[in-house]
Amino acid sequence: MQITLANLGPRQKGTIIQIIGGRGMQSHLRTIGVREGKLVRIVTKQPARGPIVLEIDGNRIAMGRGMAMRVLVEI
Amino acid sequence: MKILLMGNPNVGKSVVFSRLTGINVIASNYPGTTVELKRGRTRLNEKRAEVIDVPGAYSLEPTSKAEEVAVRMLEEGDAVINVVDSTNLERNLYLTLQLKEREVPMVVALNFWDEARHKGIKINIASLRKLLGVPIVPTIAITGEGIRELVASIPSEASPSKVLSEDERWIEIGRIIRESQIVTHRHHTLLEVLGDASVKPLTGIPIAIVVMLATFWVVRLIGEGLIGYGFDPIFDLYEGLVLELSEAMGPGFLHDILIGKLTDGGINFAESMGLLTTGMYVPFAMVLPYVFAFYLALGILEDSGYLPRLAVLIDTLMHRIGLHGLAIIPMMLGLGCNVPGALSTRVLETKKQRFIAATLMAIAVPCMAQIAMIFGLVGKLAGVKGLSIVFLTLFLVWVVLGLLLKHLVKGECPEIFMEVPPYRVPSGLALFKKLWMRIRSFLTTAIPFVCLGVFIVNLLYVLGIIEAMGDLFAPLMTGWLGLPSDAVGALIIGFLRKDVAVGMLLPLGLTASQAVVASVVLTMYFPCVATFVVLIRELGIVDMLKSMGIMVVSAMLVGGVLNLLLNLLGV
Repeated sequence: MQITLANLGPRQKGTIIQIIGGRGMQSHLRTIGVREGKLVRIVTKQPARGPIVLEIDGNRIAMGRGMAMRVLVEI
Repeated sequence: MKILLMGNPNVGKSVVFSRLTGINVIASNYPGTTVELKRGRTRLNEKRAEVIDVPGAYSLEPTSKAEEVAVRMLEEGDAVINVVDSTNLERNLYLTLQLKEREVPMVVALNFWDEARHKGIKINIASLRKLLGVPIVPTIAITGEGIRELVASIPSEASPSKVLSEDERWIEIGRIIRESQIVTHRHHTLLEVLGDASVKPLTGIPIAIVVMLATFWVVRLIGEGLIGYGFDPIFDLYEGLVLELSEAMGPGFLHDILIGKLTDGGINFAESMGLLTTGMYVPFAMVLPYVFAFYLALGILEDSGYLPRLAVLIDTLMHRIGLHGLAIIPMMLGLGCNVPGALSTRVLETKKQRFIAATLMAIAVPCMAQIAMIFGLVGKLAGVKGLSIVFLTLFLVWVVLGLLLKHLVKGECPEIFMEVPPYRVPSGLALFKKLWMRIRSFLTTAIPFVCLGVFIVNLLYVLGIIEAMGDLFAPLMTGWLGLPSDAVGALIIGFLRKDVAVGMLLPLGLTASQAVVASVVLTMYFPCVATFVVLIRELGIVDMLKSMGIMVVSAMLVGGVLNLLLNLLGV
């Protein structure tokens, strides 16, 4: 099943399959480590639609909800 | 020859720079510590070479002002030392490949080599070297390991390389990683568990409260301790010396400038306004102890990696005022000194965010020198209650002004998107070095300025300028703000040094509420000259004029209303 990263619950895991957005944004996400094919785990989601903290390859990345809604994952 | 230090943010470029050049620069554990170029010199094959510490970038397509600087620099460099985080090889290689495509002579430093080993990451250097076609040197910058080999390995010519597309680069990186890196599975370490606990709201918010309270407590304890047991006893001894000098000199202009007014035949160091009395006492015995304590605490917060976690926790609040979590960095640095605070607004992505962050910091975040003096003035006259009113007012100004600016300033407010670095145990030596750099910069910039300030105060009084200005501004100062007309002198000197300005209020015999109002107005109305210059450079003259307008208007508005309220409530 495909859902957005923003819909993944705390401690849930998924595999990134697509980043929806312009070339610049896609490329920026990839260079920080959010890339198609990567296994991602949600460390925490801040309340009131605050940012999400992800674990990818053992690294932690903080990302706003708007951006997280543009990352599709397979669970 | 120019050697550029380039790499992703937070890989230790600044530590490598310090090692190479012997010039200490501020290094911390968060992405975006270095926001401007730092230049130094090193020796390369018996020849001198310039080394340039370039702000970190994830790719050669810039996304922030700091990254733009990095990309522009590449045109100038004759060789590149690409510093790479070995614990994060895959992601770091993207920039490495892009740099290689530019065909500049390059060497790769595999930094955090020890940390990679601890994390169960094995990198085959021979194979990596073959695949990349550039020299590879494992380094541990913090201890200096590998630094000498690094300089010696800089090749004289670049290896030819063809330009790849983004997809081709990632495919190439996949191949390199498969052939040169083995990661053994491991469990989460204690620091990782602690790191995650401090970003989860349920545990993170209590941790944040404890950290902030502990910081405040430590700063007060060390600051007060240094004053009470260190500097005050020293100045008690010094008083005898100054009194002898005073007697030998006799009254006159020189006496006024050097020693100032005597109080009951003794010296009140805080109030006498002489170069050898107040000019020494304010920077050393009133300000330095708190500056020392604050920078010690800040160093630990920076080097441990706590600040980015705090940024995540307060991100939602920061969005309400048009910023995002990372804006905590300019605010925290601004508490030490507004100059590095203003510079660090470059970590923010858009012009709108930088304008809001710089304006809010300049208006509502007093620097530690000023805070120390406010402790002295308001603490003495109005106690803890008065201090609470001052800082609560400034916090409210910060919030309300932020809410307004978010809606009034045109532009984008992008979301937070950043790497949260792992917790690291701060190195004692690195902490000490950084603290010493900051103290030295305080001593070398503050003391001449404080002395100049004290000198000008005397001049202004002697020439009758303060009296004349006082009469001129009496309706505003006395009528609206409820301050004695002499207080206008503090506003004049405040442009030079805010700590001296607060010091000028000490002999005026203010009431509790006057001390509170004056402290708030003095914080808000204008930045000191050093911050002013940096802000013009960072914001541009037009935006700086707007920001200045906001400062003056909101300072007068808040000061007047506060004066009315305090009188009404009889505080």
